[in-house]
Amino acid sequence: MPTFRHGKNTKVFINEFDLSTQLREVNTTAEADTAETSAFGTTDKTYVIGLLGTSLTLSGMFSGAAGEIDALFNSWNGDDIDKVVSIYTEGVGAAGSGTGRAVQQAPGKFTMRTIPSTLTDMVGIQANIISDGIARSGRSLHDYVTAESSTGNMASGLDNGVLTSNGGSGHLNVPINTRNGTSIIKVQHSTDNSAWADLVTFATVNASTITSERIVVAPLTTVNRYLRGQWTIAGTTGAITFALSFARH
Amino acid sequence: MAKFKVLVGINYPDGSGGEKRAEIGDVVEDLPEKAAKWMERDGIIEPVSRAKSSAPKDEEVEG
Repeated sequence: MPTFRHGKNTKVFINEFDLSTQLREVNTTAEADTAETSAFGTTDKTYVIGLLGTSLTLSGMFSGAAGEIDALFNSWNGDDIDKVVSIYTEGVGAAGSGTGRAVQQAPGKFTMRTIPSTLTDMVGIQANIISDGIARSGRSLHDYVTAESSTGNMASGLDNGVLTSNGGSGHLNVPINTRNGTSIIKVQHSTDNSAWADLVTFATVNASTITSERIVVAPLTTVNRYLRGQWTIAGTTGAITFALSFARH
Repeated sequence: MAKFKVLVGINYPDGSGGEKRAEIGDVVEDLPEKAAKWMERDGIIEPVSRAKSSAPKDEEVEG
């Protein structure tokens, strides 16, 4: 049986910001170029597929204070810098249940910002993002709802059924961090769901620091059948809340 | 048990329900056989060859 999800639980992380409470719609579109190959004598058009590209559109409610959506979109628009865009289209679930859900990952550049203001609705804000390279559908490896204050890992690995051999990409978004020690967050892989090897190790997250990072695992690299999130947390007080995902390429 | 040098950080069962961690450069000799097999194949660990023990030389006896 298919598992359907309501869009209301979608989470949108861009860099170290969780913008979900200010957005109402997100669209991720992957589209391939086409080159026509029809010639004299043919009656139906024929094509060859070219390069694949991904674009995203965001639409939400205008909020103009410092650090809020308008200020962020304004500073990002046209800056030619890849953002760590992670769209949790299936939501993140209740505490302890969010791993394994679909995540759209993109290294995104902001190309347009629009502020629509009408007589009959809230002032809005919209943005267009173009993926600067590979955008892929990945899976959540940490339950974003759970704030972590001790070292741990996913209770069980995420089973892909088979290994893949073309690398991948890991996304880490840390929007909340009150922990008074460092955090080291990793993606690990395994063939047996028992012993694990590091696949992606993100830069150490400093105490009380919000951050984000995208790491690409080189093409042709083997990614074994099972994946899990693993975190090593130092310090004594506070907690870190993070979204972690990996996409096989 | 066989000894392996760790080339990529690993976690593996400690035999009592927990996990052990080994960092790059560590030498481990308690890896489960099943894990050692795939990790060696994937280049995550490499076997540590035993250093050849030199045979004791006969002492020269002065006449």
